[in-house]
Amino acid sequence: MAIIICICLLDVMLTYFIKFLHVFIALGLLGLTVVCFALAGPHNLNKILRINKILLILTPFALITGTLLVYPKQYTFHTPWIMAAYGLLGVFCSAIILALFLQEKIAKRWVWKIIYFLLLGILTMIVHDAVTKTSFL
Amino acid sequence: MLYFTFKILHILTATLLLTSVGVGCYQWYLSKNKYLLQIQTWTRIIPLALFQLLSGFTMISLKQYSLSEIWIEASLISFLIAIGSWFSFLYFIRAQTFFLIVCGSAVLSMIFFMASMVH
Repeated sequence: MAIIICICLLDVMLTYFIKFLHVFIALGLLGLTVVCFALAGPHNLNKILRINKILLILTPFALITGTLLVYPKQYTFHTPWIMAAYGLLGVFCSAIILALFLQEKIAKRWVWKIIYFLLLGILTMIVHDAVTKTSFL
Repeated sequence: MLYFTFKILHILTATLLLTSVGVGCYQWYLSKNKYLLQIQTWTRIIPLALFQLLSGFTMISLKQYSLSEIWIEASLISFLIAIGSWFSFLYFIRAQTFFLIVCGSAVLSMIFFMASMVH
């Protein structure tokens, strides 16, 4: 009986910890995208390339922690806002990979400002869906 | 609807606040110029932190949570520790690294309690 209670408590604590990690990584993704938006331009190329690589590393962790939270929070993978979140995160990840390849080819500052603004918009939509539990799309 | 709007704004301003703190600390680490960090604190970090408090209390009143709930008390205590240790880091010359670590730990625990809403 005591072992079952301990297992249940561990399960609850693990869910809280995974949710904390998920929120922390999400804040990190948003924050780093804001920094890229602020720095966008040919003069800060090296810094932006480094930040884009960090974004690319953080995105799968956001995906994994989000996936691990689906069942403990009593949702399914067919929930509309969860499906939208996966799609939007896929678009975000693809855009970051594209940005890594095109960084040196596009020199115009305003183009990169628009791209990072759109990426911020994508992340804001994911946050909106997660908060309201409904899909923006 | 109003609650969700405030919650989204709360998350977005938290991002801006943490980004300002992170960028400020990075610039301080490179240049060891505290004056810039002090200006950033009064122009960006404090206004954003005040907005965080206001939006947080607005959401608490909209949802009619009790202020005695564990996660709210723990978040407020962590917030006060974070603010206190940040000012200590800025204005005291000794033990800067210690105050920065305390500030970081307080922020992490605040995020933990608010994300989990532990009862």
